[in-house]
Amino acid sequence: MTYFLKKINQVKKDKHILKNIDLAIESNSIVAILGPSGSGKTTLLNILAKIDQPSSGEFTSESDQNPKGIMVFQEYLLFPHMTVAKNITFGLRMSKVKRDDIKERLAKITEVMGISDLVDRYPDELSGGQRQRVALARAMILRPKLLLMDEPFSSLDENLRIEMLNFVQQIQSQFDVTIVFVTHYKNEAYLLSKRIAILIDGSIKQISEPEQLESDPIDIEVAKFLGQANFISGKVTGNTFDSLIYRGEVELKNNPQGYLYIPYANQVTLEKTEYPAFFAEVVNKVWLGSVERVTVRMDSVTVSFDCRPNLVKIGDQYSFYFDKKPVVY
Amino acid sequence: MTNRKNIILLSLPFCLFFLLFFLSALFKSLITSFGYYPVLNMKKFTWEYYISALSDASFLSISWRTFLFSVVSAFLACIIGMMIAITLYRHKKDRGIVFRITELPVMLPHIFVVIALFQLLSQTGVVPNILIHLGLLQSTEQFPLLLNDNYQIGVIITYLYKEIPFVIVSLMLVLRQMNDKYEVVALNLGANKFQTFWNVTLPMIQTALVNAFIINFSFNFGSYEVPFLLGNQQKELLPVYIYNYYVQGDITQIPLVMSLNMILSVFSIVFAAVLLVISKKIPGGRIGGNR
Repeated sequence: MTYFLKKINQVKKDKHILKNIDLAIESNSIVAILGPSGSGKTTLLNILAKIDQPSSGEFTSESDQNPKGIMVFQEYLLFPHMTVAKNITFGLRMSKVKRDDIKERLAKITEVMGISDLVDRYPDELSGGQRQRVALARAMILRPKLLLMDEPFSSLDENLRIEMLNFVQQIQSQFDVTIVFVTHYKNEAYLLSKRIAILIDGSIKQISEPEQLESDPIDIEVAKFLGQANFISGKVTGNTFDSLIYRGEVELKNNPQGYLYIPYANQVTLEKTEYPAFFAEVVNKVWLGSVERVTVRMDSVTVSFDCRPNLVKIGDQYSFYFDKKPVVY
Repeated sequence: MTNRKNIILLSLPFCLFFLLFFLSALFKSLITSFGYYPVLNMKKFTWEYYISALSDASFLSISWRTFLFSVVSAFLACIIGMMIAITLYRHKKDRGIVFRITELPVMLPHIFVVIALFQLLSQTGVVPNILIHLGLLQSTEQFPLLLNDNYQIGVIITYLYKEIPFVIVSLMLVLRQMNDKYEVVALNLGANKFQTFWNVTLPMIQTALVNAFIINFSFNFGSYEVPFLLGNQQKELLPVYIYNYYVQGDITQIPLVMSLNMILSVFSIVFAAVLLVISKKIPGGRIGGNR
């Protein structure tokens, strides 16, 4: 079953928050919606959760004209006056499911989530990670077909966040649920999903796999949002680009604004290629584990990129090359 | 240590005032209610006056009437106040002019409201006269008796006028701290609007609501001037009954009056304590962490 968002627009107080969103979400998959704060991510999830209605457009699925996703919120939002058990079973109790069924489903879901020993506790007696597991259990006990996650792990520390992301993948395959995961951390999106939609200023700019996104952002907005790149301004004439550090042939993107795109990873090398880049002095190196982030300077311009460790020395000058034809946005 | 000393020194004037005036009066009332009244050479402690009060049928029936009246007035104020507070909050009017207007009656003295009601709702008041001018009534006698009536309607209107705004102000403080997304979560998990109110919103405000109810009830149960001015003298309420006893001039009855006073006070305190215990036990009584 596929979910379809067709020409979704959301206008509130004269502000156009979502603009013609078209998106197909395959069932039993995880789709990450990645975008900066204020780009309309939560507004979009609210529409999928039927918390809000779009100004125009529709959200349907192949088997259900009015699908509704169950949401896991960023701030957990566990009811503070209820125990973990009461929180988790809230939806079932409201739907008047039989007590025995509720008991059985509670036992199962708390076991899967690893929170069986917490059922009698109150939310303020739990850690951040435990609270998020309870929030996830509260949604999953309803056996939703579509689970919506609104930056659910943004307040957790790095290790716990990675643990929870792995856990979400396990949950997805175990329960055959479709997950729409919203985040503004690209690493979170890359870890979780093979299909990422970039939402900037209310529009979906690009839907790609992580590798494709990094190597070939569709426009300068996406490239700048993804970060981890240098943008060198210059002049475009025909297929050539002229700047303080580089003059030569380039690949031009749609409506180029005159910015040479040099991502930190997989673009600059010391090995000779057919695309000579620049001759520059190494001014700084930062160890990042498997690579070093090298900063080089030529005249007044500095450029950073990743290299194999100990390949260059600070103070020495080198000729650098582009791995492939550079791109200008 | 210095900090503690400062706190003691700063609170000393209040403590002295409290001990001198409140506790001494309470102590005097207590010993007098047990028959210790040296002015009349009565120095023997006895339960006699309590037994006499509790076996007095008119006292018991007046107490029951006052209790019911106080509970109903306080309950109505809480329900109406809660509905208005939630409506104002949901429509984001909790800081605007509408909210400020609802706050106004809290500041007005009871006597102002009593006189205003006389001017408006007595049979010679403004409202019946307007109705006559509009042709809706033929004479002022047709206007229902709302003041000094059998059902204490005038008293209830006065209390509601003062207490509904008090409930609104009390609840608004809690509602402003409450994350309104809890209601969104409940709806998303499949609850309907009533279930969301009953299971999520109400428990989160119930402690503030119970506190407002206790304050309203205690005031209604012990208030003298409003029932005296607007109540029905044939169906008097307890404070009026006790005060009439006190001023009738028979000082041998003072221990009995004091025992009535003590019963009224102890009942109020016990009732409040029971409500607080119930509030702790029901959903919302145990809340920790962020709301």
